Amino acid sequence: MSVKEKAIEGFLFGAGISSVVILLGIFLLLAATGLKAFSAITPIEFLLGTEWNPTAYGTPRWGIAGLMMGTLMVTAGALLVALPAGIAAAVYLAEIAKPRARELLKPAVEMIAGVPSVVLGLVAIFFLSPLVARVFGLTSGLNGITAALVVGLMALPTVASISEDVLTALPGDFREASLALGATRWQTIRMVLLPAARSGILAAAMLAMGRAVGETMAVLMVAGNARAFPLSLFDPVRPMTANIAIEIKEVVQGSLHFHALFAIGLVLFLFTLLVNALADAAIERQRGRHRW
Amino acid sequence: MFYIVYVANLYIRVTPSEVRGGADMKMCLGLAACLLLLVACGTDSTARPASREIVIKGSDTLLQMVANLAEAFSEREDHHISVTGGGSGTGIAALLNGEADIADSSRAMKAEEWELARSEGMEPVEVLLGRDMLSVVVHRSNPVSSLSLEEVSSIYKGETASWTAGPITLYGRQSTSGTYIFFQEEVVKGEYSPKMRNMEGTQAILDAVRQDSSGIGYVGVGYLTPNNLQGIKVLGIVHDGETYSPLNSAHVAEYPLSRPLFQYLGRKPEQGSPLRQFVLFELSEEGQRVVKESGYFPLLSEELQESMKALS
Repeated sequence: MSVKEKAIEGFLFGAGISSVVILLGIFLLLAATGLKAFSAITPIEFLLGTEWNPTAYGTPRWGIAGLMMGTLMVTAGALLVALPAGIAAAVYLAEIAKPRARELLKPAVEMIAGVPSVVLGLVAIFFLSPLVARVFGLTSGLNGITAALVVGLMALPTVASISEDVLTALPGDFREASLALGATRWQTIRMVLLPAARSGILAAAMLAMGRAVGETMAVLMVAGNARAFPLSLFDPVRPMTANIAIEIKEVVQGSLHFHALFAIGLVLFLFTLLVNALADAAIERQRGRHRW
Repeated sequence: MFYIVYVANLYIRVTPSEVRGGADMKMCLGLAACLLLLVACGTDSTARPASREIVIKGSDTLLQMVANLAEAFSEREDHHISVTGGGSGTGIAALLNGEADIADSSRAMKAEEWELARSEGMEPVEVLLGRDMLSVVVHRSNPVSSLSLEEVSSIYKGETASWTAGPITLYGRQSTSGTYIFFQEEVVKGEYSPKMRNMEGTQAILDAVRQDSSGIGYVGVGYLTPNNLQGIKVLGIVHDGETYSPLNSAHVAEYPLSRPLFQYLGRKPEQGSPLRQFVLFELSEEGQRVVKESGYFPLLSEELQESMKALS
């Protein structure tokens, strides 16, 4: 092997493993900085405390349960929007749409993913949030629902695009055999194709969930960001991402508050890592089953 | 040449009005790009250019006013001045980290911040710039027209949770904001209700209250432009049986939420330095006129003297 080839190989190897190295580096930095917070805050207070108020008038509080609840609520609400709409869009694109319509619609759906989240946030503040307030009879539309709707919209292309790929990749025999047995097109979709694509759709849901958990800017703009523990999506919420983005601007490096924000970052990182790992496992399963 | 970079307002405007002697447009664009990068990175302290540029950072309340001052100053003198928002806490942190020459602040620096500055070898100088009458605003349709400080405090603590007509929705700033801290210490005198929505900036509070008939918020008087006043009612503040309105400039001395607006410098600026010239310009008659045109109030004469003394 020539020197040149070796050099190229080495470069490609480096590029290949760089993402792993970077990921590991991020994790170690987060852990090294974030874990320092636990010299002053007990893990129990941190994870189970419902009050977060580091710059309190009186005693600072360090409980992130309310923030985690905010993240979970927005994520769950977003999935409630993105999953049905995304799967329906995928079914339409893969099974029903004429090739011309499909050629036009698929890029359009994927383009939603390219809209900067701050732009969606801007639209949401001035148009979606007053609408939400009116529809639900609330005084203010800066709450969990608006945040969930925006994040749901952002997660929609992930669900639609991946589900569509999975449905298209299903062997043609499935469709033909089902139709030959006298099933209608709707019966074929519902009882043959969707079940066969289950793992792939699950993977799409997981990836969408990862997106929803990590979304910051649009959420920050419309969620209201109140510190109170949210009891429903009608309350303002303060997800972990928004909390970090808001507070990191003023913390003194090396202070307890600084370390605590890194600890929240660590929780977020582990959570998204878990969700993405589950998504990967689901994709593997789908591949193993139906040559996708 | 002159840059304004509004971060808090979510848009960025860069206006190279004049190219410095000898430098070409490319370099000018390059500098602008560097500056944007600097703002984007936020925490990068090493990248600060060692030019004659003056970097000002901090309070959103002061943002437009200081940008106006910088614009007026750069019309006469050829200096780079960048003005960014983000909140008083952000500005003071930047000053202490050596990332800014001047911190705009709508609250006085805290004792621990003074201490931190001294431990880093700084001798911070406090300059008063103008006066604000912090205004409490509600929706236009709200029948209430004035409140006492005790009532406002009780509302923001969450103890008074409804108007006669229905529930109250609280809007306030985030803890990075000097106005948040000032309002907490001077009015609330306790914990804010955790149900208060924490808004990104003063403008966001006004936009929210305008849409919410149950809303209440607090904003610097400079934001009460004719445009912003649409759909908004500014409450009078009752104190000792008298009602004071922030819209009445005659009340500036007695208004209970009248407060000075500050700028902090890391140390006394050298004689003849652009930094010193700029601060002196702010305190000059012309500078104080810009303060007034920006919707705030000029300093009282003893405050002006105090600021001049701090510089000499």
